[in-house]
Amino acid sequence: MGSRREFLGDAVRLAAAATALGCDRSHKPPPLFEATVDVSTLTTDAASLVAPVTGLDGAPILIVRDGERRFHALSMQCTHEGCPVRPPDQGVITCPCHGSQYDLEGRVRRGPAQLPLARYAVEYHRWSKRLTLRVDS
Amino acid sequence: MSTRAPALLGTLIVAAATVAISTVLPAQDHAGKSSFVFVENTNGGDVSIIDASTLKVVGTIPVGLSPDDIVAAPAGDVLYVSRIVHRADGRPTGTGELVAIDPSSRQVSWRVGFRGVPNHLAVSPDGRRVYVTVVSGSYVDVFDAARHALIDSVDVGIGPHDIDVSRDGKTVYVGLIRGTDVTVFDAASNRVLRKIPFGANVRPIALSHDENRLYVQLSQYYGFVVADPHTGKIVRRVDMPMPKGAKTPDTLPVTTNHGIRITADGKYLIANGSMTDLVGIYSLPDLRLVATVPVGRDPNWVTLTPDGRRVFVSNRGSDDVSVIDLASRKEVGRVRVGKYPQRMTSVALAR
Repeated sequence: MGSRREFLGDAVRLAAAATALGCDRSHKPPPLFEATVDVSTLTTDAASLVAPVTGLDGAPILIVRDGERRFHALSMQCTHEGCPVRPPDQGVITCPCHGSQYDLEGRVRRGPAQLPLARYAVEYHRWSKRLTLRVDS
Repeated sequence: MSTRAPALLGTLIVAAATVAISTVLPAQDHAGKSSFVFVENTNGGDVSIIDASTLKVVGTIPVGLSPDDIVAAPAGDVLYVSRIVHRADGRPTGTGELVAIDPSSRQVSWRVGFRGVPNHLAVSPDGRRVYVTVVSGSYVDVFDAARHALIDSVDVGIGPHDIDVSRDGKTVYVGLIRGTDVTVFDAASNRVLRKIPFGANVRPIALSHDENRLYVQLSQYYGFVVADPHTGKIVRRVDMPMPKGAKTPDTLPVTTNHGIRITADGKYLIANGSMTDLVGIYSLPDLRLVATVPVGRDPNWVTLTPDGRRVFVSNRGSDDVSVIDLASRKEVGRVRVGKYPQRMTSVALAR
């Protein structure tokens, strides 16, 4: 649920906006962000693709296969100064601007970045080979 | 040895006197103004003001976390700061701010937000345009200084970083940190004229006053490259000196060197060796290394006082600024500033 914390600032703002608009609070609010992406082309571990949707932070989303049914969806915005990171090469995601490196789960391997890449919660649908990305409010 | 000793002694006395004089003399221009250096502290979210005469910090201006660059308008009446806006959790929001400061009152005059992550800044010689590179995108935002408004975006290629404007204001040079070119565009039409390839990610750049040479620092290259901006040809590569006893590492850091400037009289090029904590002073146009000056940790930027006598080098790894006397080519002071000082600018102001 790291992703929930990571986008908490935005969630609070949107929730506040929803309250101000008099939205019905008796039901679970819709997610802040939801998208479903075809990942059938990711047939080997460490394979990746850039999702055809823009993320909650305005940056592209990198989807990485890390096992037969294990995927990570990461914001491609480097947490150092906001440059877009490159897709993984030999298991390492690198920022071309200042050389920060992340592992396939978005954790910092080498600075200057201090924070991991923002993550989206994911749900894999094995029969359709699609992945749902979500940020709950 | 004995025959050279008196001459050497004389030289030392002259050198010592030069240092003493340059240390004592206030950095004043002909109009009786004094020079001040403004240092942005990226992790402190503020700007330190150094009196270039006393080498004391005389004020601090809060601007918000992650200022990235600071430049003075040519008239010295406005300072512009580009700022990378972060969320509460520390991650960039993907947006930026242009902040204007009145250097006399030391107050923020106005600020305007925009889409994308900004890096460096430049101001046109007439002060009417402010150029901001947007590293997360592929464009340079052009602001109207009087209206505080974004008026155009110039598509220069992915990852624009440092930027310089020709002295006549007609041509703008933009280095691509996520690409390997310097893109040149026409300031009147905002149309791209040409691209100069460098083969590696482009870091700080410095354009010669006559616009016949472009000096470029690159990622993972310990030195700088010299290009003819008209032909696009690289005419020279200059390796920086290693400190005595030090060996060049097998793998160079991404930010090997950061900070390169030409003196106002065009006689010297000052280049930071960021990974070796030194500054190289080169004579122009022959690019002869005339001095190597050890400074603080991870030097990141170079600025000169308006009188051209002193070189200020921000050491972001040791939170201080080295002050080099250009005549003696020695460090004459070190000023403690804020957290992670990076870019600087200087202006002459009435006391």
